[in-house]
Amino acid sequence: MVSTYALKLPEILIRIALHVSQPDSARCSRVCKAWHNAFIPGVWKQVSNQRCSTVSPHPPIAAIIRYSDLIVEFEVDSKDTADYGVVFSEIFRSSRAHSNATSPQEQSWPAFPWLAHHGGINNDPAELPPQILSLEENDWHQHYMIIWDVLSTLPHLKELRVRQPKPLIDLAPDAFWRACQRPERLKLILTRVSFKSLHSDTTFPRVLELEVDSMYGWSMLNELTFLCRFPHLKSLHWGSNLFPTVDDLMNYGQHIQWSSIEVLSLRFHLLNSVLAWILGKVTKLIELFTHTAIQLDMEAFSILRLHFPTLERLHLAHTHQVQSAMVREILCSCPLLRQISAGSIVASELEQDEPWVCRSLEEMDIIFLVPPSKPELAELPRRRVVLLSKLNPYSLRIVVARKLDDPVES
Amino acid sequence: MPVVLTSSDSETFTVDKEVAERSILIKNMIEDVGESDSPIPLPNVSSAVLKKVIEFCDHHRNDPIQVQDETDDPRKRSNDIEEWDMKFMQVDQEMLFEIILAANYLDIKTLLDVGCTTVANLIKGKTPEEIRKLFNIVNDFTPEEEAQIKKENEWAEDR
Repeated sequence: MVSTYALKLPEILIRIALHVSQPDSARCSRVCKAWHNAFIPGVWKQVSNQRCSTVSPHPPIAAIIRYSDLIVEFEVDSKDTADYGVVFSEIFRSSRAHSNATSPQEQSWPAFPWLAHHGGINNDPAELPPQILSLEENDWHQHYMIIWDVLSTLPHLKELRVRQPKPLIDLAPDAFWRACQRPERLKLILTRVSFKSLHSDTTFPRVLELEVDSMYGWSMLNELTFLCRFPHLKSLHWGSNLFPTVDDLMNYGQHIQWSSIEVLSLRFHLLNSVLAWILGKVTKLIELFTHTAIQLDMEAFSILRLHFPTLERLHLAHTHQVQSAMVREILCSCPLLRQISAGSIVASELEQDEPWVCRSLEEMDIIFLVPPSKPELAELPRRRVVLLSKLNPYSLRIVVARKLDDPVES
Repeated sequence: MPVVLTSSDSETFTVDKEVAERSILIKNMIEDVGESDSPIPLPNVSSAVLKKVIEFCDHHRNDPIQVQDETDDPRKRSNDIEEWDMKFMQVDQEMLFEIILAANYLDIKTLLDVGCTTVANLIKGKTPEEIRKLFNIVNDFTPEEEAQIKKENEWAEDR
């Protein structure tokens, strides 16, 4: 029949698969052999052990190994780690029926060399290697070593996301860090990890992007020495519950390689002096995000100025009207700026400004303040915004500010 | 200068060069052959399908040519289709797949994408059995193979 001919061509199926969601890809992979080949990459590109319901299954470990070369992102969420233990236990239980091997193998790296020959592994107990057969069913340490070891064999893994991994990393920290030593670049995202689990002296030259957030029981010394272990970071998102000072940075963070960082996101109570110190160390800043209220002072701003030629995204949370002059200067001085989110501008002040140089601006979250007595001043930002071809003119936010008419009140 | 195209059933269509050149295949042919009055034969495309393809290219004649990276992140891909394209794709299944084949052969990326997105939307939420019925596909798995694949990929099905 003619109508299905197109659906037999791999090149067409692959194109269709690009438009199909992960759940639909999983169903499509069961239609027939040709569809399986086309749709399976869409199933395994992003793997997560987090389940949407308590009855839905986990990705089986044997399948992770089978499809290892398709996996690009892997998420481990400790909410479900106990279940992962169960998954392993099932394999081990069934394997035990076939073997009574007891002597634990000597641990060496890789701890499970059989993973090197992945692809042929399935849940058939007869095919399970002796290392697995010798595991104690409740030996969590070993179980978690397996998941990290499996991860370390994924050839194309680019992003590893670990959330609340209390039991996961703690029980096999060395295996976890081995999983992060990769031939290719890696983005590592850690949330609510305890310091104990991350204690190690090794450095991670292939981790180019790092996100750390909500760390458990970390001291300033812990955080800063940890950051020293990533010598080639291009992107750092640093979320902290502590209040770093310049002294802290100088005392404990002297080995942090700030100079390679191009994308910086700081989520902690940020002092102007700290921001100025960090911006002074960074050589080429492309994106800067601050997440807590900071009222830039002249010292910090003058160092930010050095980065105007390269700056593409700038997000300054909770800036205030006082900084109108700074925001105006940014718009007049950052030629590559694509996204800005930074407080407000008093519209009338635009009259004295040079033209904006940020011709490629795509997103602008700035409030333009207009006094109630002179609503026509809203024309000033409007006239400037229409010149920015990539910006949606409707994103312009004009606010009538009573305090502009009555400076005493403000 | 207009271009003359000949369908598989020998019908000729005269179209503007910029419309015809939405097809990379035709564009390359014109470049190779140079300016010529002789019709371009398209032995893989019937007149009914070619008519539809020309309608699409004419509507999109002024669109910027897409230079999209093939390796684009699928999450960023939108499954929204413009209203005109959606109406354009309201055809029977046979025509839908004929258009996709023609877009593939003629190398018209936007049309191929609109066609594939239409198919993706037809698939959405359907079980494998429903998909087989819909497209008249024969299940060539053994029951064991199918069970194995289900077991391996089930985790991703209700995300």
